[in-house]
Amino acid sequence: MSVASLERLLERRFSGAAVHGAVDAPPRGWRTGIASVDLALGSAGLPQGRLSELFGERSSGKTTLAYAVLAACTRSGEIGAYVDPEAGLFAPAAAAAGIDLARLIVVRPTQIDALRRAVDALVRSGACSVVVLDGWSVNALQTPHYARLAAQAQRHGTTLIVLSHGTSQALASFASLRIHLLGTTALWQPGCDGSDRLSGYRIAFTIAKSKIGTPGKGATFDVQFPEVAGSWPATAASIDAAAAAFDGEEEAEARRVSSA
Amino acid sequence: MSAAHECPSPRIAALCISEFLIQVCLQVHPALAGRPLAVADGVSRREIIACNRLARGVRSGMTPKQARAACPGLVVIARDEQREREATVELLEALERCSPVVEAARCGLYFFDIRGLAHEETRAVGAAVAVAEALGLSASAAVADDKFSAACAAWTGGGCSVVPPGGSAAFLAPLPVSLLPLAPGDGERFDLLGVRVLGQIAALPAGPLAARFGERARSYSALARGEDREPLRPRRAQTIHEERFAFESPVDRLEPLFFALRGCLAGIADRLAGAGHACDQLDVVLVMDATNSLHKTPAVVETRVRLAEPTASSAVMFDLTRIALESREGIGAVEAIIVRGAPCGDPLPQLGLFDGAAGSRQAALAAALARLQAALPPHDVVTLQPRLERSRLPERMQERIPISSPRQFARAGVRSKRVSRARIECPVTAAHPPPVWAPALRLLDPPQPMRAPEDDAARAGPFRLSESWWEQPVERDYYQMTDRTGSLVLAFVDLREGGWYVHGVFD
Repeated sequence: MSVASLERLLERRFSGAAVHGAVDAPPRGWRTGIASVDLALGSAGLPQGRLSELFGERSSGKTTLAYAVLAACTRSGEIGAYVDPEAGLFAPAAAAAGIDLARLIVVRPTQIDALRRAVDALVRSGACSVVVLDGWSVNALQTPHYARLAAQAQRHGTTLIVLSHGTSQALASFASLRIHLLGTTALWQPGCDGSDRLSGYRIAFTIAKSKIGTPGKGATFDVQFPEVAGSWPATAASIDAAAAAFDGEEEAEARRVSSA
Repeated sequence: MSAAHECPSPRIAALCISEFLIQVCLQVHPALAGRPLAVADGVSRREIIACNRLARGVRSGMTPKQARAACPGLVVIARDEQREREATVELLEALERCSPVVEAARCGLYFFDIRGLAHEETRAVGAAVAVAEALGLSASAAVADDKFSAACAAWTGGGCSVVPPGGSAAFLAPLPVSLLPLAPGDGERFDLLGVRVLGQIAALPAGPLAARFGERARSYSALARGEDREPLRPRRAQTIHEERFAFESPVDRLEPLFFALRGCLAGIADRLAGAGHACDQLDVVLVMDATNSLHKTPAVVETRVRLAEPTASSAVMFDLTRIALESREGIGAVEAIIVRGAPCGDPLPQLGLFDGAAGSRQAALAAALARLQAALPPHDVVTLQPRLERSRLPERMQERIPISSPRQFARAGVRSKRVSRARIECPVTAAHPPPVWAPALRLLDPPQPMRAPEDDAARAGPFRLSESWWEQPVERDYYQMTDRTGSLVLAFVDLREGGWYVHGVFD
């Protein structure tokens, strides 16, 4: 039965205009900038005002996808929030992923009650366009909490993203979008000295549920390290060279000022 | 008539009251004259902020206990801000009888304009000193072409001094560099460079100085040459809007308190709007029930509420004030409530056509931050910044910066375009998505022990880090590798003890 026929049926049944309000416009969303993800999600991207779940095992690519959305949010001038009870957010990696950290509120609660209050405050304020819940946040929230958060997110247009292992039935029920991150595959590259070098990793995903687009689509995308032969946290030689250059400049300037 | 006659060159007088806080306290406690004395302020009066010359060995920032240990016989008294305000107002009103333009730069330093009194300058500053002495304050005064020179002359000269027109540079030349308003560390840098007097700074070319001190160099150089361009900022009478509500009987619940608070704030908002003003800070004073002897409650409980932006909206004021009061535990029985709002100097922001349209986002952010700060300790509500120059250890490569005000996000919005390190363009506006992505590393702090990998396991490294030999030596070999569960991790082997640890997960 089409919507129009249902509307006619209701009007006939209740003798008048029984259906009020316009049909909801398609929700706006955040495009991640990752071609394969955006293609799978459709034109809207990650929906605004909805609860989305990114789930998968450890090292499956959840954080990469969340960083992409936060980067889109902060680069467009909006404010994002990251609820990080395990203190896993690493600022250099987040900055390298394009997040403007000056526009990201990081909340690190250690108690369950504090976490619930913090999440509620962030979502209900409407001040943060994207709120990401990470770590054990998913275990601290139960069905009524998800119901309230989903309603508040819809009311204020906040994109609420929960990173989980996919074990919460309540979260799965209230999520408008569920993306299953299937895992990462390391991309090794032989180095000039015979040893292996990690050039990046490949993330596979599939859309497990979508109330906006079509579920079931999946694809992969590659994440590449900034330097193919690079190391983490940083190339020692480059840091030493930068320090030496800085020291040299200081001394030269001191000599110039003294002689002047 | 020439322009010079129409507008005489500026002549600024400075009135300097040394040890202003001590002198004010001595007015209240005259019996303490002649004894070593220090004034304490800060949280629970735990910090010394001023002392007289008899208090040898005492410095600002000490605790009272440290100060007494340094100077036996020292008398430490609490700062009397009310009396300071009264003394300042009395002095300013007296000075305004001498000059129409009077500026209170800070406690104990006042400027006033005396241009046009070419032959009467000495008498003018003498009159100012006499005014201060009539109020019981010992002062010195000086006249010069600019504020900095006048203040230096008043500090160093004593009594009444006059720096002749055009003679500021020559006067300042032999004075020490420490008179400049130096940024932290700049005094030591000048000392290392052998620059010790202002004349040396004035003689330095602008280029090398700017290369060394950045934007501050221009200010230092201008001040040292006697070219302080900062104009006088005359004080204006400020109306503090105050509303009071007294309960018929003491209330110990928040609902009636908020009911009264809403009415008070509505009154203040109306008065602000009527005067075309806005307010960015509110002071709420709860007058507690004095008859309740069971609980030792203070007579008044004061709460200061900082608003996100200047506003005359009572709803915004009420939201933040309510959160601030809700976050206080066990307020007790309240007899009366007093709310004060002072107009801020910033212009009133452009109001929206409809309620809630103007500044609603900023107000919402302020409310969210206020709620977060009520629920969590300050160091758990932060922004993070990478600090790659600080260390090569991942756990030290970032810094937590507590969020002090929602306004920092407004400022951050201006700077956000400068973030050029990011390799990702905004997907909303980007025509083509970028082909390269940076890895997302989740840090594990502290690192988690792991089993040593098999010898033939694929891994990249080692990347050796050796640091902090002077405190906690760290020697690690880092590897990017796949652990036994298939996770891609950043792991290291501690070379000092031989154990393997996971320090991060690429997720």
